[in-house]
This record gives sequence, structure tokens and C-alpha cells, in this order.
Amino acid sequence: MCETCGCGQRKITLTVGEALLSENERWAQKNRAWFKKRQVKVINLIGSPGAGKTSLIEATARLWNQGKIAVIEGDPETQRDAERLSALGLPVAAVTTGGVCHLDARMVHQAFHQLVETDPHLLFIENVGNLLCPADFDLGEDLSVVVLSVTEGEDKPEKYPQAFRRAQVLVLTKIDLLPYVDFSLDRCLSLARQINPSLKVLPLSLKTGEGLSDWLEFLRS
Amino acid sequence: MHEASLVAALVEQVIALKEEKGAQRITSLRVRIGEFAGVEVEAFRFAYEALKEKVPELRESVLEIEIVPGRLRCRDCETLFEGDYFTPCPRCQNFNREILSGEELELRQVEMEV
Repeated sequence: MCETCGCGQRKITLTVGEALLSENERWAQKNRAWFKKRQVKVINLIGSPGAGKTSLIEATARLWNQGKIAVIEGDPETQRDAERLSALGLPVAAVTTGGVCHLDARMVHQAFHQLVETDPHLLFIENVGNLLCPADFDLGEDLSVVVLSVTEGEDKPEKYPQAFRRAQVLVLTKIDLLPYVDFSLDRCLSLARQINPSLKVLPLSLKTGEGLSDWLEFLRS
Repeated sequence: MHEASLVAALVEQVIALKEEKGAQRITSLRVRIGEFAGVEVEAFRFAYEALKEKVPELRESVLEIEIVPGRLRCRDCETLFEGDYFTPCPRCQNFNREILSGEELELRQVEMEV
């Protein structure tokens, strides 16, 4: 009973202990089961705007000969990246998040409905350009890949540890620019491995093609 | 600013509990946030205060935030220590550690009027 006025209301206290993102987690599990059933390998690309996520997908699609690729493209406002990838003949589901800074598992679920008929073997999810927020959202992917360009600076693992902690792979892009920027590869990798000792690192340049074969080989395995 | 998304998820969760229990309104809720969960507590609080104005059942509610300190255990020598992603084991100086706490993001408790 409400002690003040006797109005018949009473208070109850519930102990919950549920993750704030448990609803996202449920969708992610659903996605994971669906992807497995369709035998599609799913890669979540996380990186800042301009790190080279779209270019990495383009380069991979040009050289890939192991089955079909499809892309879920997250973009806060435009569909420009989706158009870039469609131009290569790839099936693309564009998710315009309306300013939201990350994709969540439910958005990915809805987007995959548009792609499932194309029967892809490899599905890239290009997350919204942002090294911070996407790290909290499991999408049901098989592999989480951080794409970091050397022009962004070697301290990024220290500033955005969550993304590096979640990832299995770090793709370091634009390494052709290493002679022109203050970027210590050793320092960057040492920071990244403090957070995630088993992180696999693949340095590459999409401009010169250096390191690209290692990335492709990694995807095949 | 994913704090806004986290708060939206929190509000959905709380409203679902309210419906489930047939309660009238929420009086308080307690959330646990790990020290290095990547959440800016002030932004989280701000997002909650902004959102609760739009949800009548939450308007009178108080948000309590409990910060969970980071605790780690070395996988090699089992030493327990406090710190974050960049703290090595104080005994063997390596980074092969298990994170025991500090990454929490959870709804702990809800108080409501039925």
C-alpha cells in the first residue's frame, strides 16, 4: 500500500540482471543461425570514415572467384557507397540508418531478407563509418574485422579499444603511405595486441596491391 | 553517441517489464556500467533524462548508475588485479589476461508502482 495516502498503490522491486543489449543479442543469434543454414560466411567491417572499407570490398569483389558476394551497406544518410558497389554488379542492401552511428542486428536481419535470394557465399556488412559505436553491437557475423588506415594514427587501438577487443582481424590499409606519415607500425600493433593478443594483422595497400593476396587467402581459409 | 541507442534499449526493456507486471509507473532503475564498457556516463544520463520526458510511465523515475571497476586475471599465473585493457599482469608483465569485470552494460534493478 502507498504509505502516504493509502491509495492502494504498492511498490515492487525487480532484480533483473539482463544486458542492455539483450534484445540485440537475440537478433544476432537469430542471424547467426540463419547465416549458418544458408552457408554464408559473414564479415563485419568496422572502421572510421575513409579508412577504406568500401574500397576493400571493391578490390575483393574484383579478384574473388570462390562464389558469390553480397553486401549490406550501412550509411547514416546517403546511398552513395551502395551505388558504388552495385556498379560492380554486386547485390547490395542499403541500410540508411537515419543518423544512427552503427548497425544493429535487427537492421542486418531485415537487410538480409533482400539478399537471401541471391544465395551469396560471402556477405560483407559494411558498418557505419565509426570506430566507436559499432563495437557494441553483435550482428551475428562470423568475423569482425577492424579496417584502420595508417593516416589515422598509430594510437587508435588505445583510443578505441572496444573495436580492437571484439575483432579477430585488423586490416591495416594505405600502407603505401607509410613513408609519408608518422605512423609506427610496431607501436600500433603492440597496442592492438595488448588489448587482443590473438588479433590477426593484415597490412595492405589497395593502391599498389601489396598484401592483398594475403587478405584473399585469409578469406578463403 | 551510441549512448542514445543504449538508453533506447534500456527504456524498451523497462517498459516491457512494466507491462509484464501490470505496473502503473516506474519509480527507479539501477544500471551497471563497466569502467571500460566504452560508455560515457554523462552522455548516458543526458540521453535518459531527455528520453524519459517523452515516456509518461518514466517521467517520475530516477536513474541510478553503478560503475563496475575493471578486474582481470592473468591466464599464466592466475594473479588477480585491477586495471583496464592496457594493464599488464603485475607479476609476469604480459597481456594474456581474462577480463572478469569492467565491460558490463546491464539493467540491474527496477522499482515500480503497481
